[in-house]
Amino acid sequence: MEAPRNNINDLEHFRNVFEGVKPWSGYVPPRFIVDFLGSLIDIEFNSMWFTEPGLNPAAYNPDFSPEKFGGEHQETALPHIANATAPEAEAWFEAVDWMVSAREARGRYIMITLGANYGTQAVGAYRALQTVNPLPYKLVAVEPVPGNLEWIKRHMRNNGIDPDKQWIVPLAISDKIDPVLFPIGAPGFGANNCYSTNEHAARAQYAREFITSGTAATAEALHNLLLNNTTGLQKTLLPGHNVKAEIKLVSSITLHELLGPFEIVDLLESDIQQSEILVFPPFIDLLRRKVRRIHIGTHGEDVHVALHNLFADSGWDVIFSYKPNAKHESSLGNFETNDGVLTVRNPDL
Amino acid sequence: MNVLRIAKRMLGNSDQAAQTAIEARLNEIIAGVANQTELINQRLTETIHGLDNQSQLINQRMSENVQGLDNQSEAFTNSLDKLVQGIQNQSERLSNKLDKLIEGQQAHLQLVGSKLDGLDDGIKSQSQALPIGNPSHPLIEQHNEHDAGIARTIRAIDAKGNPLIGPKEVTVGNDEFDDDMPSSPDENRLERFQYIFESILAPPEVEAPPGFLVDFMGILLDSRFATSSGHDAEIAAGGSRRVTIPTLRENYNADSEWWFETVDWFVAALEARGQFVMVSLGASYGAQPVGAYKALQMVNPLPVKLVAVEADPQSCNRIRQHFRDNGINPEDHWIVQAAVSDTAEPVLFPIGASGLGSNNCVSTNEPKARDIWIETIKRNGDATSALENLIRYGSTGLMHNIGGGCSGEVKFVSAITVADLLSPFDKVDLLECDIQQSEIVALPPYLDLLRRKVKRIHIGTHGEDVHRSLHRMFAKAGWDVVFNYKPNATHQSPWGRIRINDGVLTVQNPDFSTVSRNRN
Repeated sequence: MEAPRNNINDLEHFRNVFEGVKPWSGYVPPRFIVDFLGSLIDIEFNSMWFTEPGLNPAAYNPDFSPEKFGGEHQETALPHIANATAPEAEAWFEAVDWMVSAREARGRYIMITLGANYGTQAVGAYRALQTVNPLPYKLVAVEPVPGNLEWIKRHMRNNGIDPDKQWIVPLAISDKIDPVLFPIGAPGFGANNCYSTNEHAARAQYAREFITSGTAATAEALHNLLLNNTTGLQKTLLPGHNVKAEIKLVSSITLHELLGPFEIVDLLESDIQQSEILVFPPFIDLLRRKVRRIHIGTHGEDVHVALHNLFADSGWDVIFSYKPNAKHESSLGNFETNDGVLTVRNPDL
Repeated sequence: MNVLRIAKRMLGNSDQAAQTAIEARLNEIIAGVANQTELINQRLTETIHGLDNQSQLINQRMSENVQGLDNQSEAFTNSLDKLVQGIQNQSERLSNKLDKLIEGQQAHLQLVGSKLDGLDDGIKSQSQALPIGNPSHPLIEQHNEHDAGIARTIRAIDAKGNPLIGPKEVTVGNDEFDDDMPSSPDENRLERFQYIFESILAPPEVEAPPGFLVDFMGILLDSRFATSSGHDAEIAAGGSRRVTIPTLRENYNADSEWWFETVDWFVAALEARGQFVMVSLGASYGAQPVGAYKALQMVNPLPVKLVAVEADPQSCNRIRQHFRDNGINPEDHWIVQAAVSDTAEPVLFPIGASGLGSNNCVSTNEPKARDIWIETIKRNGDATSALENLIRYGSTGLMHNIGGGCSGEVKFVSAITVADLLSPFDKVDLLECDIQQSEIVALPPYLDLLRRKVKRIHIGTHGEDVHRSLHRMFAKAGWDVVFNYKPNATHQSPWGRIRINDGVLTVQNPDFSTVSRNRN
């Protein structure tokens, strides 16, 4: 099933990756949608795509009502890559990595998702494991936005997972363990990251803004920070949309702390809005010792290329490497990407 | 010459010439036969001679073998004699030891008996002297007034709150548990642990490398980490060191806390099954995880995962070094550079004075403390630089006295909760906590989770109110209280008085404690 070493983007090798998986069919409860593995997804977690104008023109519907979803018998289909839109293509690659990592797991399955949002990756990997290789498991979901944390727990419970038996980490992921300035708010959008708010230049800019605004603004900011761990500043997460978050001080964690408790991690998935370029490089040796497979949603072509080179130069097998915001051709058909796709496999494990 | 006669008879005398030729030929044959006979005789003689030689050799070899066997048999006999002698010697030594032990035990029993008699007499005489049933007796009045004073003090703490702790301070004054009474049947029954170290055959002296201290378990400690050891020339030179097994006997003013910690390492190690997981909160340089690790290696070697949580970066480096100094690869374990708190919100924490072990965030992070920082910054008139420090570097730029003549810079540090630390594991064998009063913030929110996952908890408590509150919390939640000794006090033990600085609170999870219950 697995591609041989150095055979990048050999999609032909994955033509039958879903062989033996019967697409889920059955009754879907009201207000839910479902995927091919039977993962039930509360429509509330995706409602912004229907209600926020311009965010996704194809989905926007001013008459959106959660009640219009579910409450009936449904048939699902296997993911496809031929002529796939960006979301469909990304979902195909994610599902392939769930399947392959689940099949390769031995003894216990450990899956870590960075920037977990409402937990779709963790639950998807769990469902794949149950389908092809049921084993004891531990899901680790890293997500600093409180609203998302609640959704992760709900999404797990909705799919038969006890969140108290998993590790839901309410912290930002970074290259150092110092607290970071992070935009908190807008659960579900998945656009929050600390790359643009925590870097030295951003911090210096915030300090300058307060200080040049005068004594009262400085005193208020000082008060906010020392008493409430917040700058009080609002940041627009998606330009042109009314999607805002408050820039707060948030505790962070690094890959060193996340991997520390485990001997082997079967799948490490990351969708952290460009912070991947900070988070991965310092721990490339540790990853090689502990992680079997990594799936990174990359953001920005330079970030994608830098990470591809980092892993390739470190001896990892690059399985998928498709740049973000591009159209691609393959033996299984053409597709588009929004986030880039970088899947690497550890040759040692 | 029968052949010649037969030939002559066959030929007659008819052919004299032929007869002569035949005779000549016969003579040749006879001579040949005679020669061959002689040769055969000669060969036979040689063969017999050879056989004689071989027989002689064989006899010689056999004699040698017999001699060798005799020698070996003698050697075996000697060895057996020595073995028997050795066994007899050992048996004698063991008998002597047993006799001494029995003598000691008898003496000890006599001593205990006499002490008990004395105690009994004392109790009787005191009972007779006590004004029982006379509430107006001055002693009873004095006692009642003392109780009332304590109650007033507790109510005052309840009403005003601890100025450093703020609104999260301990609520005391709940009389459901009398703190002087044991809440578990086995609470403070120290005699149960009298022989806990018996199986440890610690040599009286251990070799220490230059610059290191060493203890009875062979744990090496870089003398720079030991605040009380100084850096004397003897330690710098290394060499043989006399070590002692921890004891509470006659241990007044000595380090009693060490005894309790060590007992908990060994009990947790003995009870572990499959894998040993040990979590140390406020790990300083890692004394507790290394101690637990060494105990495990001595009594129940199992796969192990050590978790050390410490907010001070320099201390985290020391943990790694202390691990390496004791043969533990830090990369195989989990060292978390964060403060332990009740939530994951960043906390204001004094960073510095590594190894002192006094850093905590109760006095720097609670709302009242944060108010103080704002007031201090205002009073200093440097709000602009303070804000810049905070936003750019996460630091207030202010120093906080953390005791021992040391201070730390008050900075924002990432916090981690007990939930985050326990979640990766199905079971934790020992959770050790020495976080300078933050225990009252960090542990209570996760009482249910602790019950699901942790077999044994050892808390160094700070402040009597904190100690009492945690004791009450665990007892009320059904945990078996093993040790309960208030901080900053002198306590009575079966072996004399013990002085406690940090309080000692050890609780055992009854859901996991079948082994210890059976043993007890």
